[in-house]
Amino acid sequence: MKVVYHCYGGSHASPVAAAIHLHTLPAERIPTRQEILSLNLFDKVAPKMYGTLIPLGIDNEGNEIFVLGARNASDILLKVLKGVTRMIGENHQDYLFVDVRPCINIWMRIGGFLSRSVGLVFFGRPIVTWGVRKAYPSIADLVSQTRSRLRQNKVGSR
Amino acid sequence: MKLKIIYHCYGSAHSSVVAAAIHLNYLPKNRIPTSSEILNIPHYDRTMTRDLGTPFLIGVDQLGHEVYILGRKKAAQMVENLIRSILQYYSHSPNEILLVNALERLSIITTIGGTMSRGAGIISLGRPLTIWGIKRSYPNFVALVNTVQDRAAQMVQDNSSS
Repeated sequence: MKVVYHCYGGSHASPVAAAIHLHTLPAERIPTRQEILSLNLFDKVAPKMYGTLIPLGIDNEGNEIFVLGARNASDILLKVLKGVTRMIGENHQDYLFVDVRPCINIWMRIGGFLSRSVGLVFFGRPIVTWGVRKAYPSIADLVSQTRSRLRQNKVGSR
Repeated sequence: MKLKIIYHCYGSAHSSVVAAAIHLNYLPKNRIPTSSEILNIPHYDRTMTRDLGTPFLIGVDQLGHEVYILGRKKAAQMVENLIRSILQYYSHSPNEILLVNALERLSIITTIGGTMSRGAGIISLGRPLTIWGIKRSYPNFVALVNTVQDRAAQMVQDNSSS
């Protein structure tokens, strides 16, 4: 399947979820600041890029993992994604969407806003990174639920 | 090569519907249509909130291009980014889809009428207002469609030469 982790900006919560899914970040312990900051997309996506579907890799069961920043328009963008995929003759039933926004805490919100929207990377980045470490168990939990859903789908389709 | 042309606007109920109808010759280019002609085009002032984000095929033009409408609220830039990245991911040509913003030339009257009819559900007041607004800005819609048809012809040429 194609798994799309989506959140507000596609810059913090969903890249971390995707990294856990792809074992770039550990699932069993909270990573260091350095480990989080070394993610390719972390705190990097510019607002003018919102809406871009970014493929990050394939997990060890063959599922392809994506990240999408959809602001508050995820309902619309996910329908566009399916509709356009179908329009160009590709398989639109292959997608699983995972909303990572429920895992976002106030520190990620403030730090993310300062760094991405205001452009104060120097102030925002340490705050959002701290927020990610606090939210980490719930993000790891969401990823593990997603993995079980994918396995059930596989069993179901046989 | 045949293109897919998507006219998009806020709610895919008025401006994109009218632009697609002109493109497909359901509405005339040489005169301003009557109110009943506008009301009778498919999807006009009918789209519901749950339809937002889903592209609807309205018809196929004389050159074989598929013409769609799409409602995307204020997410025009994100939809553009998304469609570009989907085409790229599936290794399709970026010129397979021509995305056209139909809202740039809309009269404020239609916006107000549309909000009343689609947003607030006051159809009896809102619908006539949208029609009045569409008629006022009708030449702009015709100009937009002409630009799009020229652009489509250019893209077909580019696609076949590359």
